Amino acid sequence: MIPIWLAIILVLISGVYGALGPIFMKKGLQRFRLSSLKTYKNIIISVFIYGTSLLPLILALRYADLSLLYPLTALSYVWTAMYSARFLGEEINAYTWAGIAFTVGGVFLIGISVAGI
Amino acid sequence: MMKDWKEQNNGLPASSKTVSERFSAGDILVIMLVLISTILVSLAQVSFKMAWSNSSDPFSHFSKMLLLGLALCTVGAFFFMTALRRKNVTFVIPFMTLSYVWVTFLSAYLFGEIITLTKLMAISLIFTGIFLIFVGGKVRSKMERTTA
Repeated sequence: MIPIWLAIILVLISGVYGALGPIFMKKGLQRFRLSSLKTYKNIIISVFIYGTSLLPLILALRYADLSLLYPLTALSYVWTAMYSARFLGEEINAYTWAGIAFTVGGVFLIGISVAGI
Repeated sequence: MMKDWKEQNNGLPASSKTVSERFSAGDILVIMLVLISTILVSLAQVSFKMAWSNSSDPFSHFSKMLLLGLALCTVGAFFFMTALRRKNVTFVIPFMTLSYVWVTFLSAYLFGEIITLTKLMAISLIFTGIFLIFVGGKVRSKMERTTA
């Protein structure tokens, strides 16, 4: 077993890092052309991020209890929203923030129910 | 009334977004794409779960279900990418949480898992959230139209 704070940090790292996946995906898709190999770059980076972001999560789940960690994965939706405002210039108004808060709450509750707290 | 609305939005910067970035009739297409994607992803998760169940020939059953799950995931990812190409991240990503809803219903139907009060609350939160994000997109596009 690893200390619980380390497991929590691993899950948070996985979320903060993994939330970059959709950002690179969007960047890549904006200019994507099937015939131009150069436009594949951001999409490949995105797939790489999606894959490797699972590693800290798997490590944390291997050594710590699922029940505390699973609801925390919902936070990644908040990071994604922040990144898309910062790096893609998407305008996020009060309705959208409220909507993100509701969906994060929903995924958090799913996490709690799956973990069986 | 119309004049007030215009005056309220005069301070906003002119939009630099392309037409495809705004809310339009194409939204229905994007919603369909995301819906199909979430259904495929949830079916993939069900296949992964089924891969672990016992059967007379464990290995071939496991590999069949695993391959089916991976195939569903791949097709789902292409639908997701097609949607993301047409619409912004803030809209598409929260919409993908619908897959949690389908997984909850599918696992109740296929594996007899109980839909608890917590799960019902979660589902209603997700639906409310997606509705609010849809409304948020409408409000923004209205503001952009008045400033343009």
